[in-house]
Amino acid sequence: MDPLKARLLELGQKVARSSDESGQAQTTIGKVRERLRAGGVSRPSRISMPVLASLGLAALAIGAVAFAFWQGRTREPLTFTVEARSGTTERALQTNELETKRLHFSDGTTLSLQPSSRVEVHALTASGATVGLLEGRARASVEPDADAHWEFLAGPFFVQVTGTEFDLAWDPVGRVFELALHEGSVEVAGPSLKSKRRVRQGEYVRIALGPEGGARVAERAEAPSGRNEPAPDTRTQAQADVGTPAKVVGPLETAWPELLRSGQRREAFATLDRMGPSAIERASGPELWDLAHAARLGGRPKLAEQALLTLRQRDGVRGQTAFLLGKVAADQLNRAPEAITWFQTYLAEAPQGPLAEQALGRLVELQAGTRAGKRAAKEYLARYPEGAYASFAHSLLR
Amino acid sequence: MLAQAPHPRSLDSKVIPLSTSDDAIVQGLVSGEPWAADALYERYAPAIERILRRTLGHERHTELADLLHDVFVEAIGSAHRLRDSVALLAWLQRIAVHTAYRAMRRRKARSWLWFLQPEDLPEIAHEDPDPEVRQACAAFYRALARLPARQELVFSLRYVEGMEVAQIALASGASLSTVKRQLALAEARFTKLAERDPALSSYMTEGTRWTR
Repeated sequence: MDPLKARLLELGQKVARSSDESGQAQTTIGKVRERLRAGGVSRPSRISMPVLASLGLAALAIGAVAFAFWQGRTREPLTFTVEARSGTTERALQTNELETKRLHFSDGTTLSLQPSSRVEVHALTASGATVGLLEGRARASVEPDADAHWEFLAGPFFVQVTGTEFDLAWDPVGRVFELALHEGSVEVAGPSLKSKRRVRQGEYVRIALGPEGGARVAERAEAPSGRNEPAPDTRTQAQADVGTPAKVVGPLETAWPELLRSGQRREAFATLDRMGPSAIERASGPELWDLAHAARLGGRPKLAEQALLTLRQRDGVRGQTAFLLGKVAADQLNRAPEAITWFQTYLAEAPQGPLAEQALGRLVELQAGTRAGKRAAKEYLARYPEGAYASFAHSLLR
Repeated sequence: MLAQAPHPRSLDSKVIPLSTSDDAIVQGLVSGEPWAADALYERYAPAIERILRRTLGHERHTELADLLHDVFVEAIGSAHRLRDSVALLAWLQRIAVHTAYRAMRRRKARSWLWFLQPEDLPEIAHEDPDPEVRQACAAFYRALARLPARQELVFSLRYVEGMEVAQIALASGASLSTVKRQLALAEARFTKLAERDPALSSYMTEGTRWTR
């Protein structure tokens, strides 16, 4: 080879190695992963500086005119979107048993519809809306505003809101109404209540009506202490306006596997944190897999590690658990030596497994610049000459 | 054990069937399966990030995350154009190379607007403890940035990413002869610049000085 080219190649490789060792790669990859998962599939716009300056001036001018109009404006009714599509009133929105939907209102209020639920936006005004929960569960987060006027209907019950966050549930078959206040306060009116009842932060209300519509049960208990904690068992009952002691049908609390399945990852993690490590030990195999994936992708690597280790130690699940433990150690916990051991374990446990190419590739990557890395690169190229890491493996052997 | 194939989930669920093939990923992308984008990213993000970082130089490119994001957004949005899943990596590399090229052109076009020269901008945290290595790396990319964008691209792909000339032609969409011509021009120009730069000149004359 031409000595100049050889020198350039050597210099380039040194630069490449220094770049690879900079430690920025995983941060960048993690950042983009989060962005893509947060729904960022639209390309960020990049506008040239002169255009930006012109736009800035134009925006200032438009802003001044808009402000003048705003002074004597007539406020338009709110609008809302459902999963980025504009929604219309008088049309029920439904979720199936594996689905969640979120309604975004133009004032910032959100309503998260849980699986197997139906909701209908009856009316929209400039300061709020009337929303009917026909069936199922929903979490509402109403933007605080002195002028806000929101009404929620759940069966025959009526909840008046100004600014707050709460869970609302209505079961039309069992005729059970549930309300848990996470923030602020609301007023509830309904068939079992003599008058409007104020429910405050931290309180949980459950009212079960009889089949004929008569009040059979009304009970109130302490609500969850944190907004991400589901409501507790109604063990400590306090009398509401109509207080016939009755059996506790079930709390608003949803078990963490159910929360995970319905996409409420944060709530599931919070529940697990509250329940302690024994909750993981009691979980079934499929639930542990769900948890491992959700925790890994949801920025809780130690929780993922715990789930995977339980699968290995308790259920004897080999192979993929080792691979994922390697990924968690390398990508999220920054524990390269441990990751190397796990990827080696995967290759020992599943030498022809579907992840063998990736495991070997990761070993090449993690051991770059060492003798072991060269050995791994040679083995990788022998087994996967066209693999995803082939170009990188070649660069290590030059 | 982990499911071997995607199973129905809620839209918010982020389960990635790790054992899916490239073919399944492409099919999943085409039919808009949420897991497919995750699987594509998990499998190829390290390789694509490496190409972008090595061609653009991470110390000079604070927008690396944006560019990586761009590559995958483009890939996810245009997966229906990919006919053969065997070429998935090559296709992603092509998108990455074009994204890097656009970034180089954009940087050159904007250079007159910066209040600070790129080399005067605060450095990104770097784990390399050797200041000499860091200086040389910075000088390397500084010299590279003085080449025309096309030459900068082929030079970095050849000498930093370690691609062969034919691979560069494939990834950049240029003909083999164009790549060879651009590379020869880039080599000559880079060598002149490097020889004049105190942080690089000794590497050009003495060969390696880095012991790591």
